[in-house]
Amino acid sequence: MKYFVQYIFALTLLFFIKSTPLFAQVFDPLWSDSDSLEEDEKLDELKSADQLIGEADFLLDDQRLLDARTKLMRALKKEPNNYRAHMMLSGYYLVHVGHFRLSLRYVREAERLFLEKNGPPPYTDPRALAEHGQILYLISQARLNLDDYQGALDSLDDFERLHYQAQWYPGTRAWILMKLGRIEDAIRIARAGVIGGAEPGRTLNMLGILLSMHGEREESLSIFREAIAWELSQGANGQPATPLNNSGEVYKELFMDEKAESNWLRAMSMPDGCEHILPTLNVSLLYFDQMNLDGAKKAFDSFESCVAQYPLRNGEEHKALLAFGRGRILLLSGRAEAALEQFEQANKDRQWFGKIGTSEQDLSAAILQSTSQAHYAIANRLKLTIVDSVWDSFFNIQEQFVHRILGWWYERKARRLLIEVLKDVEDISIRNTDSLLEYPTLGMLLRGLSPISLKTRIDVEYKTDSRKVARNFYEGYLGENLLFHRDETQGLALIQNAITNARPHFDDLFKAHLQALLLTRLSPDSAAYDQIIQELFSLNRVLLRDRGLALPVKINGALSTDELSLLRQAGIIPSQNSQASVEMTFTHNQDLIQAEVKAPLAAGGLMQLKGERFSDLVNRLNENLFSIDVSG
Amino acid sequence: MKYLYLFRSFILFMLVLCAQWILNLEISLPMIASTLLVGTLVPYILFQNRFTFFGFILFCITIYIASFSVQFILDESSGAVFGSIFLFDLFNDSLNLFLIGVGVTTFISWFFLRLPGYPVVELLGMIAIALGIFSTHRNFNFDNPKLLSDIAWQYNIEPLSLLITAGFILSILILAYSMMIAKLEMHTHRSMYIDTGSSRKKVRASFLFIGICIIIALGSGLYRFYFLQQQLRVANGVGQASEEGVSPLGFNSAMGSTRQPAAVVRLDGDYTENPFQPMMYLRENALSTMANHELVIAGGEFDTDLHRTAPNERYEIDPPSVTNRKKLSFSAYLLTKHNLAFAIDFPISVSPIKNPKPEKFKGAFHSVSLVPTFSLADLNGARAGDSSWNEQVRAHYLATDQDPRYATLAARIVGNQALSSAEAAQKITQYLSENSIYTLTPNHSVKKGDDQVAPYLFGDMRGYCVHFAHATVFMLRSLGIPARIGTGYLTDLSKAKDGHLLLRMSDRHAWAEVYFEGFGWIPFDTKPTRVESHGDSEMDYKLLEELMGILGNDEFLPAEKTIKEPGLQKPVPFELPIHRIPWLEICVSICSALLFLKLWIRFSWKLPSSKEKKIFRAYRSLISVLYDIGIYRQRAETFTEFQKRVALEIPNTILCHITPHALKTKFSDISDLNPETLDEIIQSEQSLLSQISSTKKVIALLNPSSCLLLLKRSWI
Repeated sequence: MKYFVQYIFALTLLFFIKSTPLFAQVFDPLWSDSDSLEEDEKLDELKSADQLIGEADFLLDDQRLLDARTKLMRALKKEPNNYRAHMMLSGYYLVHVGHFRLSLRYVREAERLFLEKNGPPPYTDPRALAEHGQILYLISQARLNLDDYQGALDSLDDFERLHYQAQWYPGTRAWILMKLGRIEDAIRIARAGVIGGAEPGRTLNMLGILLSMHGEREESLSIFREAIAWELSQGANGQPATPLNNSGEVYKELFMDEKAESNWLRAMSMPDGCEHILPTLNVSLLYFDQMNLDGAKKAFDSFESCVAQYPLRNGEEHKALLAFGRGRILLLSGRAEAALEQFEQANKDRQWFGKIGTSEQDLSAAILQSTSQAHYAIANRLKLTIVDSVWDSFFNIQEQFVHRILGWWYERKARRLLIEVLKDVEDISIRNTDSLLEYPTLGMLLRGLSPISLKTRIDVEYKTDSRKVARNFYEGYLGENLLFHRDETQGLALIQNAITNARPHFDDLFKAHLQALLLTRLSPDSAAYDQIIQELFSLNRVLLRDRGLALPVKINGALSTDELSLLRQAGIIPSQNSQASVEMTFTHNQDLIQAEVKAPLAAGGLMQLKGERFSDLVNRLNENLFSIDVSG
Repeated sequence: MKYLYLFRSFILFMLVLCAQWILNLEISLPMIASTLLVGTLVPYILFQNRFTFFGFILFCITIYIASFSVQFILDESSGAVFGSIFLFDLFNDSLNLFLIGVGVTTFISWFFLRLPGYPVVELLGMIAIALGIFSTHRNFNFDNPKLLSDIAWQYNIEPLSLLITAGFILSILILAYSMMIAKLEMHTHRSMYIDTGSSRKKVRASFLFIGICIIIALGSGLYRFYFLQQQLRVANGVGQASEEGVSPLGFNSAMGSTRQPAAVVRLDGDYTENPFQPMMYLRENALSTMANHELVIAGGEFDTDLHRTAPNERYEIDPPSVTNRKKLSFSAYLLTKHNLAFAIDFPISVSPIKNPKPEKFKGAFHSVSLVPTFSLADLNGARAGDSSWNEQVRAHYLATDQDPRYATLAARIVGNQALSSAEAAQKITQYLSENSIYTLTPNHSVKKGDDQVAPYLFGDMRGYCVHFAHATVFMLRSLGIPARIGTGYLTDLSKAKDGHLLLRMSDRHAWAEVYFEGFGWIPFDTKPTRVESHGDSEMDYKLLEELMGILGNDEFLPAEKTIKEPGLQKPVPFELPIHRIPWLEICVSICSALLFLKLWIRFSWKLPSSKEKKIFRAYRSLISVLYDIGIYRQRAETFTEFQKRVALEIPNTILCHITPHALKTKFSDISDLNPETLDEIIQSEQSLLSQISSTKKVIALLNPSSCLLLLKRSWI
């Protein structure tokens, strides 16, 4: 009984003590008098550096990043030679901030202090062992992110030489080897890691990527399936979006577009779906190929609303790619000026590629080429704009000239980048997942290369790539290049062949691009031109204006010779063909001219415009008819 | 000609380098150099070999055909020649770029050499470029184009100093170029000067000297003027001085467009409760006193929540007990001079900290504030104003413009509904946001002392933050809601990197604030949906990362150390010394000395002295007049020959009479000239002066070259 009373008393006492701040200060590492940071600071002065580091660790887990950083800084202030604080700060800048130079600086300092305290390896103390391993890991990661792959591998070599072991090791080493182009070594390491059970999710994912790069796509898919299953089994801590995204990329490489799409959409719907932008970007690139601009826009909108849930994320890791994607949508929907603004934004925004395989150069090349395309599109649209005065005409021509010069300039810059930095135009490999350019866009870029060089490069692909659909794209590239270099016969034959073999729906953009190329070699009054352009109009009417192609249209209503001439000037040719997709009816009503357009458009196929001046009306008609509304 | 051509090629090279820097052309330096070298050398050689224009065109065509043939041949055998797949394409691209560059340079150089008058076109082009560059820097806009601000930042040179120095160098280059062109032109068109050799050189040298003096004086004056302006503007921020010229609405809007980094802010803790997410207001001062038609800084008895502390001073108050706020601290590292420290909302302490790098930062301070954690919706039930205010304070925050239109418009916006003060403030802000057009150049013509807000609010609705804030406060006060304008920085927390924010001059802002009991001063900011022009507010992450790498752990300074700390002293960045030298005084002194010498040469013969000296001085005076209007004795020309030539140029001169006497005086020191002859000399000189046109007389007066007569004894 006596003990029972003592026990109850002790419990009561403990209850009271627990409710006092003193208890919390002593035992709860996260304790903080909520409204008093300065007092907290004073309190921190009483704590040891290790205590502060412990608190920072908890704060990091709680996603209170700035509070954690402040604690670590205070720890350093207390003990400037505390290598653990330096290590933590290095990890903090590596993982949470993406400031790799600062991360490397902290970890190098940590290494110096560590060696000063513990002497050179080997160590017998298990804590020193673990900490030294951690330092080597941080150095390798910081170097990796700074694109110093050999340096990163050297750190891992040190790790291996000292016979350290860690769960992260196989995955990390495999990734670095992959970056160094040693795919087979990387596969060997990753397989060993999988067998050894090292970080299953990450290592399996890594192995899957490596196998797909090695051409073993079927096996990579089965590895990704395992990785997805493992990540899903981890519940809230799992990250299934990454292997889902990667498996989608493999499906895309196998031309199983529907499966790729479903994997990416699934990845986007996962809790970690907006951890990075790649699934969204991948699905939108797929939609670009299908000319499904609405779908692409919705994907970006959904990603942005997902990111908006995290107010602390400044979006640095995806801003450039997002601006680029939105720019592509605008460009493909016929709004080249607005697209240029987005590309400029994408170029300005600093992109952090730490989490993804795509490099800054891939993005740069894509932005440069897209900018070039936008300039050419603007120039071609200007060519089909009716101007009223000689003065306007002069400015129109001058503007066209400037846009063409800029288009040429950006295209040559993109081409140099692809050759010099991106390993002899690695993007030629069809479905190269790093590439941010759809194939028609890349085709425009490749046509400026010498036919012999391109053929030699494509022959390399022919030797290694047995995919039937891929070969069709290679033919398209070559055909476009030959056509550009005046080898009409062979070029046209290849293009014709590529058009015939293009898959319906999935390769709509590719097909439309090739058709537009064919049209440049045909007379607008010919029957062949008429036939192709009607199909092209239904596939991608934006291209007609972006490439400066004239459209034969069935015209109703009495138009004067001048008005007919203006229509021709604007790229609208009166046609007697009853099969014409577009029918235009012009009615003069006192001072107003009304145009009614019947065309296979999404919004009921009917468009009505009114204007006082015929030239303005035709310009507006051109603007509205040859663009796609993706605002909804 | 050769030197001019070399000089011109140098200028061309510098221009291309600048273009490369500004437009980021990504062309390698060897490529630029080789293109310009070939492009300038080839036409010069052709010119020396007397090629006609037709010959030149043929030559160019031949070269181009040859180069394309080479390309074609290499294309056909690219694999064999180059080994690597795309090496030929890279070579091809470089060759094309080279040919285009050479083509353009060759043509303009050819025009320069062969087309009379073309150099003038080039000169005009240079002037236009110089004007273009410097006009974009008007009103302290150092960042457009970025070239100068980049150099200033990289080498830690004060931007204004660099700008003035660049202007000075460019002006000298243009001046030198124009003089060289003038020489070139004189080769083709014989000048009015008798002498075609050394005399012109002297005239040109004199004018160059005067030109440089004027440019130096102008540069120095401009620096002083703008340095003062800059100090006032940067130090006082947006509308914090009430003097004419820097009053809030007179604040030049272009200042707001500059990307010049102003400070780095490092938050010490997370601030997820921010009711203005993602924006954060950093208040530096407030305007609450109604003065004529605008709001100015109030005296010490009002706006007591402000610390009004300099970055190197201390401020500390006991934190009031409040429930809807939490403490948040941050450190600020100043990149431009600030007279006042800024703080988030309600500051309770400001203390200086050690400057982590005095060469980069102008100072650093640490601030702790009580920041709001409430939601803006909580304000709806709150009462505007403070019950503890006396009548004087209340009247102070309710004093508004006498123009009844503010009250009428406010009543119209709020309508008949019974709205809380917060709702009314929101309605007004919403109205202004929907209807205003943001522009940095409202261009309202308002007379001194008149209302500058009315043309915006009741006119075209074009304005910037200061207009919006004033309009909001005037309308709120007319509704009986106590309001003021907060000034400082507005920054976007979503652009922070690890809690670090880079503040720029374009982030300086003014916003309306309303006082709510129990909540304090709350910003009600107008954000126009229509934007006509706006400063670039993009975060430069590269720069931010660089600065983050410099910042270490904050070290608080003990009170007695505060002022002595080197980093907190007046910053000592490297400044070009141009403004430190009293150029104006030096120039004025030199000009005065020259004028005195000139007067001495011209009129010293009138002073009483011996007859011989008088003759000597009279002759010198006469010679100096001739010298100033461009009539000199040639090299190897005898005095008699010169005398004859002068007699041909200017008849009736008596140089023929005085020369023998002067020579005699020189060689024998004895003169037989009687006083009557001396009078004759005076009259002749007068008659000589009357023959000269007044323009020439002015030029002769300004021309300092005759002063050289004192140094040079060969005139006689």
